[in-house]
Amino acid sequence: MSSSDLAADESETPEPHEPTFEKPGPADLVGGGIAIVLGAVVIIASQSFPRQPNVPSPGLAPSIVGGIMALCGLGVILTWARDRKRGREVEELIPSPLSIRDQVINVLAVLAVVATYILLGDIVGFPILMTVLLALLMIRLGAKWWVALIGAVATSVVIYLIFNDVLGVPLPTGWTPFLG
Amino acid sequence: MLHNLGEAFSLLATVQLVVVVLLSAVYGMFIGAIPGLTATLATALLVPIALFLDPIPAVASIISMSAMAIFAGDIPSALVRMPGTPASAAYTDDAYLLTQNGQGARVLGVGLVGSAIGGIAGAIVLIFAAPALSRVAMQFTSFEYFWVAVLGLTAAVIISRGSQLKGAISLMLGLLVSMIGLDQTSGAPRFTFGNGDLLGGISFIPAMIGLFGLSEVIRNVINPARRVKAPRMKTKGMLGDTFRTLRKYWKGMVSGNAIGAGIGALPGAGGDVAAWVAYAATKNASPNGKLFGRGKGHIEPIVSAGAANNAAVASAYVPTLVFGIPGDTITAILMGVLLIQDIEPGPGLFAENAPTLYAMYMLFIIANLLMIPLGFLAIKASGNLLRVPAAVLMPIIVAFCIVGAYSINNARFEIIIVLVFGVIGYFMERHGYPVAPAVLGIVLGPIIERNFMSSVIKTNWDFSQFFTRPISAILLSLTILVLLYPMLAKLFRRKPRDPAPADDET
Repeated sequence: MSSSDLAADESETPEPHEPTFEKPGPADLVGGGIAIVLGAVVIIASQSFPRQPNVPSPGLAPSIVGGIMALCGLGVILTWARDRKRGREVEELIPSPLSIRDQVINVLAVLAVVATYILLGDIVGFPILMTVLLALLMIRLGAKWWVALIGAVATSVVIYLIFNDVLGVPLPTGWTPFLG
Repeated sequence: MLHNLGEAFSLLATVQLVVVVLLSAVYGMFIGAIPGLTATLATALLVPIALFLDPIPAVASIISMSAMAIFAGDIPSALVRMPGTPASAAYTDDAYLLTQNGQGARVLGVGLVGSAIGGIAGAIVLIFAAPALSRVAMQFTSFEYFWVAVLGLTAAVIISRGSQLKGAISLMLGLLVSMIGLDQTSGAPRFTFGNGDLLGGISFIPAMIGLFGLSEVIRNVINPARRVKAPRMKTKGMLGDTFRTLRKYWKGMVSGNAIGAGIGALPGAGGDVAAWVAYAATKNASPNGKLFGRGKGHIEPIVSAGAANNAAVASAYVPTLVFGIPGDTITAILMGVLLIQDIEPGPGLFAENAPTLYAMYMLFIIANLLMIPLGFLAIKASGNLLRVPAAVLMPIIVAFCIVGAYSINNARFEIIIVLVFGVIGYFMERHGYPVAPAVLGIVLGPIIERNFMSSVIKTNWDFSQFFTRPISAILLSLTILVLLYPMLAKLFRRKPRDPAPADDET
């Protein structure tokens, strides 16, 4: 057997990713715990739903579902405990090129946009508020200021045309009532 | 039948429909072609708009969009090795390697025509299987419907990748969310905390927009997909090349269609599963199997897997329309839309609404045929499609999430739901809890509970009927089989070579 035969043999079934085995962190313990607690809370809360005669309790189905959820949560914790001993195959995740600080700020920015619109949408109105929020978010995510401006205005205009004019959804006009 | 066909045609031959189909296809093309945006996200964002349309155009938009998006996912696969949608993941390596060797146009041409044929094959399965199955479904009562729903959900959880326990938890979460509001059987308020908005329950649409849409954005801003330069492609002679290739590998085409149509019809299993299975099957059966996925790549798996995922998307409508059990996530969303439009899937649809059904069949065929010219245009323009920067795209998606949610009820409550479920969805996926079962739970929860309750009421708590009715018993056995499938699979999967023990002879 020459070495080239061996080489050909090895290339038959390559392992594209060598599975890495790791001890899992506490995430599953927490997740499973949440499932158990949530299931239990649902079962308890379901006992106090108002009952009607001759009809099954409205708490029946939620209790069953809550029970299954708690059991599965238990299963997750047991699996986690077992994997703490023997390791678990971990998928390699591509790490983010952003720093943790940037990641967090990005997420908060996205959530802030939605929350701000919820709170101020009716007051400031869609045209101005959405344009401003979009532009700020685009800049935060790395767009050049003039790209962000054009993008934000274009998006707001297109959405306004589609939803307000074509579909008839009354988007709040707020500070720009002349656009209504 | 001719009368129904005629009526169906008149339903379709409107300008509105043509415009809707075209726009949806273009929309699907954009979303499919951009890596990181999935067909499910596209559907989630499309739904609020589709609700304003009549049922036929609404269904048309989803059919047209999804057919196009599933093909368009092949484009970034081939150009930059990033699948545009999970359905293209199975053959990304082959597509990319071939493109690197100058065969890009051939790859995409084959993918396109293969997909169109696959979609039509799936539609043919739908046209013949659905009416036949609906005759079986006519014998269904609340017991059978309950078990079919349970079977479908169980299959969806077991088939979903990752831990099945976590999938089950996700499903339970969705079911619980569907129980918020007024109980349909007794009218009692559940989990409403005295809040007037919650009394109306949590609509699946904003929940879905949050779970699929906003959470995807959050994921993307945390780990943005790198902007890559796409190579230019030579598209001369693409058509002839495509047909020659398809003719050469017709066996792969046939098997891909069969596998796709079969798997798509299973509840919960969609285009991505079908593509993987077709890929593996072709690799095993082909003399060129060893060449797949490495070196220069090979075109054969693209023929079969590309057809398979489109066939699956079409045949997923079989269980959806016949039983009301979604065949995949897209049909789950579609079902929700149908229910809101007061079109109840099931035998009633086949008996009373035949023209609507025929219209849907024709829509499938039209959408897949339309895909060919649009797809060729997309291939030519593909270099430019990938240049949209995420910094601009993500906020645009956020805007559509906000306005889409608002447009359901002209209220802020739905936007709040999007926000909450967006965060929940992000954390779920991050820790391995698939989001799709939760959406299935929200959509199917009311149906399951209603059938369960009416069964129990009918027989006055006689649970034995759940097990003794013949069809119910069959469905129950199938459910148990599906539940045990992972364990059975492990038992039967013997490794061909056991690793040699350390103390073996040298």
